[in-house]
Parts: sequence; C-alpha cells; structure tokens
Amino acid sequence: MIEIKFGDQTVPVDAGESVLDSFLRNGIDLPYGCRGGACQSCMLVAEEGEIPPAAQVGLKTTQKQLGYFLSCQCIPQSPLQVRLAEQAGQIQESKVLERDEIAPNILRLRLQPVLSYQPGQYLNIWHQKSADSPQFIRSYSIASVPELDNFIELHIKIIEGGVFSQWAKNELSVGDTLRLQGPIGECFYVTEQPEQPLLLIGIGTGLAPLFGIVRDALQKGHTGPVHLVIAAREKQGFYMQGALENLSRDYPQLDMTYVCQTSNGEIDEISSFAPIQGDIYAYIKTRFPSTKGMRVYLCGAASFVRKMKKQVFLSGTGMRDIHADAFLPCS
Amino acid sequence: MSLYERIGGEPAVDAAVDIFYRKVLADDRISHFFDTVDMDTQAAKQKAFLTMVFGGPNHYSGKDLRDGHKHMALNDIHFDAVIENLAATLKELGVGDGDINEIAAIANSVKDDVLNR
Repeated sequence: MIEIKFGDQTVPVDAGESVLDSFLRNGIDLPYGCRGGACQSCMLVAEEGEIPPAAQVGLKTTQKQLGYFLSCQCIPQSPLQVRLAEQAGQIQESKVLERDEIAPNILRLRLQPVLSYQPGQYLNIWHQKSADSPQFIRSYSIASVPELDNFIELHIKIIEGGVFSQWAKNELSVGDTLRLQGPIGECFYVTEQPEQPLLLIGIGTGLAPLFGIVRDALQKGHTGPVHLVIAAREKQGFYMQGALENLSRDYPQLDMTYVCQTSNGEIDEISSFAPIQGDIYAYIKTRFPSTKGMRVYLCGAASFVRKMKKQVFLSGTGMRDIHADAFLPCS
Repeated sequence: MSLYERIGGEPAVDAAVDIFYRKVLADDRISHFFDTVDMDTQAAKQKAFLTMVFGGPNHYSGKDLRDGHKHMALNDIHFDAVIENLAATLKELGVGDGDINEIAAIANSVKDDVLNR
C-alpha cells in the first residue's frame, strides 16, 4: 500500500485507486468536478515524489514544472507529499535592501532573496502595522531574475488609501523586515521552442513581471523575436525607460513599444521609444493582425488581461500559449 | 476501435478545443453567453464537452447538463449553433463525414437536458 502525506495527515491509497478517491474515502474534502481529468478542479501540488505522467495530461508546461497534478487521474506508484494547489508555502522574513521612488507613483523595493522563484511569479506580503493592528496580505509580481540579480525586486504602485503602499511609501525604510510568502503563479518563461515569437503586453506596473520574464527569456537564450508592448494611461505612467533602452541595445531581437492611452484613439507611430498615442487593443490588432504561433504574456489590471486574452485568442494564439498575471484591485 | 480512439483521443480533443472555442466566441448567435466567463475555466468545460461527444471517458450526467444551463434561457437556435460549430471544427480537423454524424448524434442526444425540456 502506498501512503500520501498531506499536511500532518497520512492517507493510505489502495492499489489502483486515485489520490482523489482515497482522500474522499478517508474523509478529506477536496474540491472536484468531472473526475475525468478535464475540469482540473481537483488539482494538487506534489512537493515530493514522482507524479505519474497521466496525472499531468492537459496541464500547462509551467504547471507541470511546478508539480501540479490532477488528483482524479493520479494513481500513485510511490509515496507522495502533496498540498492544495492554492496554498503558497511558508512565510519568510526578508530585509529591505533598497527602496526608490522610480516614478511619481511607483516605489521600487529590492529585498533579500530569501526564496527561490521564477521571474514573473508573484509573492504575498503579510503586513501588520503594529502588533495589535489587523493583518493584510498584498500580492506583488517579481521583476528580478535570480541568475542576474542578488535581490528580489518588486514595483509597488502607490495607491491613494492603499493599506500597504501608503505605509511602504511613508514608513518603510532600508533595513526593515518584510514577511513574504510564495512564490505563486504560472506566468513565467519556460525553455521550450526558443524560436517561438514572444508577445508581451502589460499595463502600468504590469511591466514588473514582464521585465522579469523578458530578461529571463533573453538570458536563457531565447532566439525568436521578443515583442514587448507597454501601455499606460498617461505619459507619466511609464517608468524604467533607461533600463529597457539598455536591454534592447544589448538584444537586437527585442522590440519595444510604448502605447499611451490618452483620449484620442488615433495610432501615431513616431519611433520605438516615444510613446504611441492610442488604444492598446486597437494597436495590437493593427500591429499583429494574426497572433497564430506566438506565445503571449499579459500582465496588469484584471479587466485588461481578460479583454486582451480574448482578443489574442481570437487572433490565433492557442489557449496554452497564453500566460497571464491579472492584478486584482484591493486598497 | 472506439470513436474516441479513431478521432485520436486526448490530443485530438486538445486540438479541437481551441478551434471550437474560437468559432463559438465569434458566433453572434451565442457569443454573448461567454462574455463574463473565465476563459481557462470555459476551455476546460469545452474540453469535457468535446470528450463526451467524441465518446471518450466522461462523467457528464443529465442533471449536470440541466443545472448548468438552466439560467441561460436557451432555445433551438442556440443549440443548433453549437452543433454547427462543432461540425465545422471536425471538418477543419479532417474528421470523416461518418464520424461527424456519429458525433452530432451524441451531441443531439443531450439536447433535451441542455434546453431543460
């Protein structure tokens, strides 16, 4: 008999039985739907042990890399240690190494690299102003690349009334400790098909994960064209142009465009480093009428990600080639 | 060989999902039903649906189909639109007419459940 470790429980699995069935039989309530490997609602993550290939059929490559599997399709041949797919792991303390207001409303934090991650994933900051105040959890995407940077970089958008961002702006100093949990998320670069064209589109601080993903792809030797399109509501919303300019000088395959979404809907291409005026959706439609065969990364506000995801899918990108990091609003 | 195996099994379903979903989203008769759903969740549902109509392993039940579609006020036009898109998808994938008819028959067998009749 094979045993599965789940938190502090040990669950016995009968021969030929799936992990889902054994959990349900032993009174562990897992979410599930079709039991046929299609709906993916019974997904778990293996922290240790060997996942039978059949339990990962239909998952994205990024999910497979992270050890995700479908418990209804998993008939284990050896012991496993598993957890629920949405749990993000232990909380770790990390000191602030640098803090800079790199744009009017954007605070860049560089933290001790206390956890391993893929650029483009995100982490949770557990924030409590003082011992007796309530605890808040805020998620931020990671802009750094572990092989290139000896820090974890986050771009904090300063929001009026923002619980964490206002505190970080006004009270957080270099040397202070933050409590991090993660990493989480499946929006990152994987080394397969290095010749595949990449299209990365971000709005606002959606640049943070994209900056990580682009540099990761380039340093891992991606050979295909890399199109990075950054949009902002107004000109002041763009940041880090210097770093991006250096990057595109080092890597000629990188093609950079800024789209400034001010009132008039006209597309007026001036040069690759002066922002184009216009609507991001119209710009992408005109510039990339077919996105067939491209791998697409979308980062930024949830409404943007949702709309653009549909657009690039309809213009030809396969569902599995669309990677997205949707920022959810919270104050 | 079963219909599901003849079609090409799970990889064929994967290939069909993108084509089918794209057709559904572009079809004015039914696209509005998909405006507010999460695309990844919906793609997984379409995969389960296609697996079912291809005669593959599935756990669709009449009750699920009834409950899942109850709130949508669907009629024959909507159902037929889905069947048309399904047939066009299969044609695009090079599935033979005989198999297409067999698949359409499976899809039609759940019509009353989907339309809550």
